[in-house]
Amino acid sequence: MAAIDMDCLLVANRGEIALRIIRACRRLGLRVVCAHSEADRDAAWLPLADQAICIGPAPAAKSYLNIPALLAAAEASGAGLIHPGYGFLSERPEFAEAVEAAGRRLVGPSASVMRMMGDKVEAKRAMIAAGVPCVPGPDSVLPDDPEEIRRIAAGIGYPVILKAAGGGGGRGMRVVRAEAELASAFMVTRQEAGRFFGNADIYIEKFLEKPRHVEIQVLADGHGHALWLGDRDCSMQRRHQKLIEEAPAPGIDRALIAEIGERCAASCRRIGYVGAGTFEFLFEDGQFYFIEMNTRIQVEHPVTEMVTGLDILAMQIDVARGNPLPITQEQVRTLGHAVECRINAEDPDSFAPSPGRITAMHVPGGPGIRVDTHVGAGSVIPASYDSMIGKIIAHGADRDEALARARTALDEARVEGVSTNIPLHRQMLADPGFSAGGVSIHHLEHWLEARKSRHA
Amino acid sequence: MFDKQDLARLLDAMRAHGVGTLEIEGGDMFLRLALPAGPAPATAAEAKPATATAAACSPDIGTFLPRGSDDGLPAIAPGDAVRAAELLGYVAQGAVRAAVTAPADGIIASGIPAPGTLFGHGDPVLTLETRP
Repeated sequence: MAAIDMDCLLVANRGEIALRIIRACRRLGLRVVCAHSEADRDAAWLPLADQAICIGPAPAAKSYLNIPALLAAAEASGAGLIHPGYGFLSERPEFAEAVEAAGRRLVGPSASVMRMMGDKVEAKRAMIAAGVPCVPGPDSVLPDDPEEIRRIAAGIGYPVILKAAGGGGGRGMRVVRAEAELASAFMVTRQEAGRFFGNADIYIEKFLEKPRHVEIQVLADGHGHALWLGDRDCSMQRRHQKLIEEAPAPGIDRALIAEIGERCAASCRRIGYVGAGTFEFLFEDGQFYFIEMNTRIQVEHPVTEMVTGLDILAMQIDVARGNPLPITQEQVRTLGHAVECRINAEDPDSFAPSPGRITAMHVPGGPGIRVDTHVGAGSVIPASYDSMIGKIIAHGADRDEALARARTALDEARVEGVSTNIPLHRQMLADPGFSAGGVSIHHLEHWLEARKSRHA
Repeated sequence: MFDKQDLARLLDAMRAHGVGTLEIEGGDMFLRLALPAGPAPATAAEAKPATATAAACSPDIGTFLPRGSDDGLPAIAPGDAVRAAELLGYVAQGAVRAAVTAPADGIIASGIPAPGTLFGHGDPVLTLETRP
């Protein structure tokens, strides 16, 4: 087998993030090897890598989630670095451990930090200790005693939300508006948590009625330095899936953001975090409440790259190689505003996935427009994976200009052969509520309901 | 008497069997058919049978080791006839080897990959010419 080469990186992912990682490796002068499934054998991003290795059949469990196959690909190619991208194995501590045991380095934090942040209760405890504001509620799992649960809920004040300690991504949650609903909600949530996450522990928090989703991008090295790279507003969500993200979050006091950002960076230093990460918050009535930390690069990282001018992927890989961060917090500057629209191959009305072959495609361009996509005319969108086919990112001197550029880009974009949500994005960017800025995480769902009523 | 259709059928038969001249005599009738000289058309027996190809694929990720390297089996070469499921080589991950086998009866039509060539899961390793 090939000797371990720390100047060679294996991409353990697919699609646009695989291409984004390839580009970062080019920037750093690293050799790049792409692991891929049989369904992606003819994918357009593979020829852009130095080498491509098929790791298994189309189902993710047999390819992109197959740890032995990924390690075999690393061993066969000599790749000393492994980038997990987002999704798949990116937040699985067992993968981080397996990579380390194989004498290689994961582009991401250690397994122990991943494990801590994967357990929502433990993460909350760590954040409280670091002075990061959290949603009101105890930093421990709920006991079994119904009377004690009632006492805790009454102390927080209704409505409350029950959450699975091992959950995430909007799953394993239940809102309780009155004490009479509490006992049955606890039982059902506990059963679901055990079944879906293998961890039946439940915790309780104050339920916020109309919060925004605001997050802080961080980047930390192995030399005790950590930076926060600004904020993003990702409130335009459907079923907890983000559709539009922007940076910075509109209408929030910059001094408050800076205070939260500093605390996030400080907590990274405190827990020994290395790599890129995101602190996710709910924001309501001028207050930030920590919800979770994502210990990976995120889909929406380009809006931060656009306003800071930084190559976050390249910096993430660089710190994984043991290098110190090349800039200080004082050198982080944000300029203008950026907005990102996730383009999915799906029906814009029913949201049903639309796999198939793209017969024609036009990618928009012009000043301030960046399109991150792994597909083109002739590409096949497999049914086996996520339906995202790209991201249209617009940057402007201010929010109005960024939105205007995004609207023009969406009007120009054309994808034929499969359905996409581009028409939906055009409508959303014309919505006066979103255009005004500062909508809550429920805005899009309400907007979709209203659209449905109009069509009925 | 031969009509036009009979003549066309006779000419087709001559072409199919490589007959250049045909003379038929009967009563007061004489018929002579001659085809222009040229390369003899292939007979049904001589026509090359239809062939297809099939790939022997890698069952795993690893580097290639051809049959006959160190396993005591005879080596294989392009043009060799092989039977379905016959061992053609291995893809190795360290000391672990996975067999690359023939998917059908056939003749090895491609070159044999060099030892150490890296293959991924399902990658074609060798091509066989098969008879459907």
